[in-house]
Amino acid sequence: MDVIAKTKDGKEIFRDSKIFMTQATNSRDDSMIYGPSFKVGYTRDTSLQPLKTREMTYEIQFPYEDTIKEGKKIREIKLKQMDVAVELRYQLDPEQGELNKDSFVFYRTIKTVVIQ
Amino acid sequence: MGLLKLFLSLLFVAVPLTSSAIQQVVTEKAKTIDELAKMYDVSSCKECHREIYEQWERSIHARSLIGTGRTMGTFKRSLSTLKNVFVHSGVKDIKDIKKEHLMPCFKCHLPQIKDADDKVARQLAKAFEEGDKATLSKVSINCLVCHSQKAIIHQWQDGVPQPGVIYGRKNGSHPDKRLNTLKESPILTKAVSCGQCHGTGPNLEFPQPTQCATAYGSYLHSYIPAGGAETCQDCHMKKTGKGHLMPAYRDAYMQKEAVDIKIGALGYKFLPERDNAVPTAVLTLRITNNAGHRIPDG
Repeated sequence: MDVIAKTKDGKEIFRDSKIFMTQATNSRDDSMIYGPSFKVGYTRDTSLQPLKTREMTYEIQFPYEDTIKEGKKIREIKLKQMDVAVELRYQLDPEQGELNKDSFVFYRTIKTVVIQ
Repeated sequence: MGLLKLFLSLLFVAVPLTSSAIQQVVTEKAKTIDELAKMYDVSSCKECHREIYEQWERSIHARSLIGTGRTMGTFKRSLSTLKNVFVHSGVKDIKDIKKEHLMPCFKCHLPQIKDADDKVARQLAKAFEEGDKATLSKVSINCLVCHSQKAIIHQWQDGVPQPGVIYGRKNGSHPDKRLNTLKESPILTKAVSCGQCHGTGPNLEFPQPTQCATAYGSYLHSYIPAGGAETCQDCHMKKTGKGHLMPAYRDAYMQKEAVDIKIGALGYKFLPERDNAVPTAVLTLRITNNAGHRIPDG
């Protein structure tokens, strides 16, 4: 899942990716491994569990700049609006690949956040 | 003496006839992919079950050795692993391959391999190495896999799947020359039917374990304890209305139904300390998995 925040004119100011998946080792050492010929058991499971809700919070700062004027700190907020895109994809490989062949969008939305 | 000779003659005639009458039907293993395909030919099913057949034809089951493309590639890599990594497998070349070397995959991707000999395993291995889709598409998980070979799991209660019988939801006759009897399978509408292949964890029964699909394990150990009450068939066949296509992550309806996402968005000035108001956007995401198993899994 990707969460990407951009300014009105498309400049990216925040990006976060989370991976939801079972993570297997070969049960011989502690390295995560791919491939049915090698996987034996799971060492970690970050996948979305059935009938369970996962809650995540993202705090994204609006760009600002502090200056000192007449001995006082003045904070100028450079941007008062950002568009935050959230996309959840089902990917067959670590690489995103071609849409609708190697990866499939389960959910996509854009939220506009404004401050006064 | 004459009577004894007559009696002995009759005995030598009667015994073989009796033996062949009670003798079990001996099936010869398929020696080629084409023979295996013929043994498991389901084209006659289409005559009466057209809609179901056409759904199945478009499913991934119908291309179980090719899959989405990754399946075929994974088989090819597995062959390379057999030769180069699993040094005690006995496989250095395709000519060394026996069914047992491919069973960790064919257990689910081609269960009917049990009715073929090692030659077929070698032919399939060659087809994987050459990327020969035309050959690999000749055999797959078809009607006879689920409705015959895997239709009975309680074999000490119900016996083994019988030749000439197709398993469904009732008993009766079945208008097919080869499969002329219909018998009820107690498990066809139950999740365990799918669970035979869509796995619970590592396949530890093999000399070298494999692990592929584990969705049934997630179903049993997470979905059911969370209060889930639907079966694989409920979600992947009935609710979609797409029956034997059994759609999953590639299907727009399933994608939409799989998860609920709620997002709260807030913009404000956070004051962690005096004179330090930080303009902040806060996004809270709540993702609920509505499926009968973890996502992703298979």
